[in-house]
Amino acid sequence: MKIRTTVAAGIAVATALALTACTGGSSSSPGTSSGDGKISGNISFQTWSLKNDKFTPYFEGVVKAFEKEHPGVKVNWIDQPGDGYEDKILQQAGSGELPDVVNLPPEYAYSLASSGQLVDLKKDSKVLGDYLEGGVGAYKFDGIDGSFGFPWYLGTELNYWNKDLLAKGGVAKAPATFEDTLDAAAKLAASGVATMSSVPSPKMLQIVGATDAIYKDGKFVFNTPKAAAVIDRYAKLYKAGAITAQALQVAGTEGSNVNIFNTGGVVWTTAGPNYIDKDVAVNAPNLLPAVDVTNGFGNPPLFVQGISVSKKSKNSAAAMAFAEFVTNTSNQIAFVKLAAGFFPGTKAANADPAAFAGTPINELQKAATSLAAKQMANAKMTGAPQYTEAMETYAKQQIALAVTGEISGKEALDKAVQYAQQNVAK
Amino acid sequence: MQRQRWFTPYLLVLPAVIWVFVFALWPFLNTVVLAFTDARPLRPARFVGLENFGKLFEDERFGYALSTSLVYVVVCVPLLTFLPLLLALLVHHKIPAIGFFRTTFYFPVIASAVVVAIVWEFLFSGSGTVNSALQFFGFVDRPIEFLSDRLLLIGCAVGLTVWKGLGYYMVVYLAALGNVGRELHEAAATDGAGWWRRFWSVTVPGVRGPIMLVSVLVCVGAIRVFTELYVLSNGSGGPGGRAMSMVMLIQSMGKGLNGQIGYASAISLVLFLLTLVPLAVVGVLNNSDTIKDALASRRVTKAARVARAAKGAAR
Repeated sequence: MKIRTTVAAGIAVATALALTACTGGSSSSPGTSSGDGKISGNISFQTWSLKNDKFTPYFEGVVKAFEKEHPGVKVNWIDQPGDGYEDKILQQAGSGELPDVVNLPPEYAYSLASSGQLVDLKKDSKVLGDYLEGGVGAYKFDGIDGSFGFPWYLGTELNYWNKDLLAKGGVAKAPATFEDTLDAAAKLAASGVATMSSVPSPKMLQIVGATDAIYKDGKFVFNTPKAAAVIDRYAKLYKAGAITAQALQVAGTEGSNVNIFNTGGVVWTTAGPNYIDKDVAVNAPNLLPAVDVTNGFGNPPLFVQGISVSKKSKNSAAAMAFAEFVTNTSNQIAFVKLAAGFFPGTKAANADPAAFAGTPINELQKAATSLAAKQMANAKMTGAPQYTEAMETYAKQQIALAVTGEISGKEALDKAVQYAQQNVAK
Repeated sequence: MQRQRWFTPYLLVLPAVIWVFVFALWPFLNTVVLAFTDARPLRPARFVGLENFGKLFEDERFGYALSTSLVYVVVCVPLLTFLPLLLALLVHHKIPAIGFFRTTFYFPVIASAVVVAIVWEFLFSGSGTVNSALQFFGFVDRPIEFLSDRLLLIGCAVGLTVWKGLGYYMVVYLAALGNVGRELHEAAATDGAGWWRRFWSVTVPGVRGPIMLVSVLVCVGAIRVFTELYVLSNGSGGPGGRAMSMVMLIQSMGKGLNGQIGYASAISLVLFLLTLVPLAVVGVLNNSDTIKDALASRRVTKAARVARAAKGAAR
């Protein structure tokens, strides 16, 4: 009987141990950088939604060229679908299987860097100085020493207008400032034309200059009187019919405004510089002749995608070499030639914009690309690494409520700031 | 014949036990433990006692989520308990082509909830079919905010749940209706009972068990509603997130690299306890006869004891 109990207890303990292993418990332990400094071995390289007819040949070419240069290395290129990338990264990092070289936007890089999962490029790479300072800065985080991503491709946002709808409402020219846009919206609403289908988010309030920063000196600071006034103005415009009903039903989600713009439902949308060739010409070709493009308002946003190196890479030298290779000037130029409207992340590549301009399909795309190129010099990162998607969603929910008129703009922003302050990772 | 070793039966059940442990018990226990920590992905968790539960009371979104789920229960339970029964009565009779109607009523069940919800979004959005029709006929000037007004949004989601659930519960009732004796109906009819009277006095008591089962399934399902509200509001829960359900709140709090897993686990735990309530109520109602008998027998025993004691004292 005693033997049976012992065996049963043994099985129970073994199961419990196996289960503990399942949870991957000690994710907090710092990663160890192994490797003997020799560029060899197998490495994995992960991109985000870039495996398609356009980009696959490019990446295959890059991988082949690198493998030729370093015969001992085998690069396994994997691509993740657009949706759920954050969850995928979390799952990979949690199970200690983050790809050796990985495409990360700055906010994901911040989470991984703060849990010690990424290599400090400032320490380990000799070529970091070759990249644009703004781009490198996007991967430096308050409170964490180091730099955690090579800027890969950069973008910004432009304003797009429906000229036909503007004319219908008696507005002759596309508004030049955000203030003018709100005035025009009120005028257009009187003719039954809706100007937009979105509610402002804190990041958007930062772009239009209603708040200087989202997070400053350990505090969230986007509840400025100016920002509250913008929201109150939106509430009035909503009542007047300048904002569609759909704007509120999708509060907190992205992309709805541009979709409604594509159906000819609203006058104004913001979108990336490649919107003309990539989106409207494909999804709404009939609308194309009516579209006009102008530069972004106030502080145009800077979007950065970067390449980071996992600290847990078994072949860290090869991983670092590949990360540098894929983001070097010639590879970046070749990449942005395919991704019209984006800009490369190295100083040398940006010295000659003609080299990567590519051939636009539509005339308007040419105008958009040129506007974007001029705008890039002033473009600034919006948000803050500490400002998470959940905080942005909460803020948008509250702002949507303010737009219905149930609460004031100030109340909405105060609540959003309070929520962000309570939920910031300490 | 060789005798089996003592551990053979244990070995045979071991795979099933491990399966249950890994995929049911362990995640559950893990959630309970996490509910008392400030766990976030990729960071070490710290024990925080009841802090997460205290936070629940201050979080107005939790209050809205709770009330959304309760409204869902209050509206869905009667609708999905009785409408499928009426539908089942309708298709219970053996008439030509009844199979066609049964299949048609069952169709929404097979359709994917997400696809159906997207179709409903087309119908009810600001520029959707319903609003376009209302505007075309001049009933309204501005689109009705079906998907942004809190109650209208919940109403649309309830409509979707009911429409999609009717067929499933109809089948449950159809099976049960087959067991209600025809002779009971005939006897009641002979005694002069009309259709309504027979429905309440013969049919309903005949399917009492399935009614209980259906109502508890609907109740638990309604507390845990997610897909309908999520798709109809594009995950936003409407202005202020006021039309979020409990599960939507758990999802929005727990997801991503900065997800608050500890807090989300605390909400999950509360949700679990809430789903126990209807189960307990049905448990009591279903066993009411047994409970009554037990109480009665206790009373009898007590009375007998008292009588015996009184008799003893008299002597």
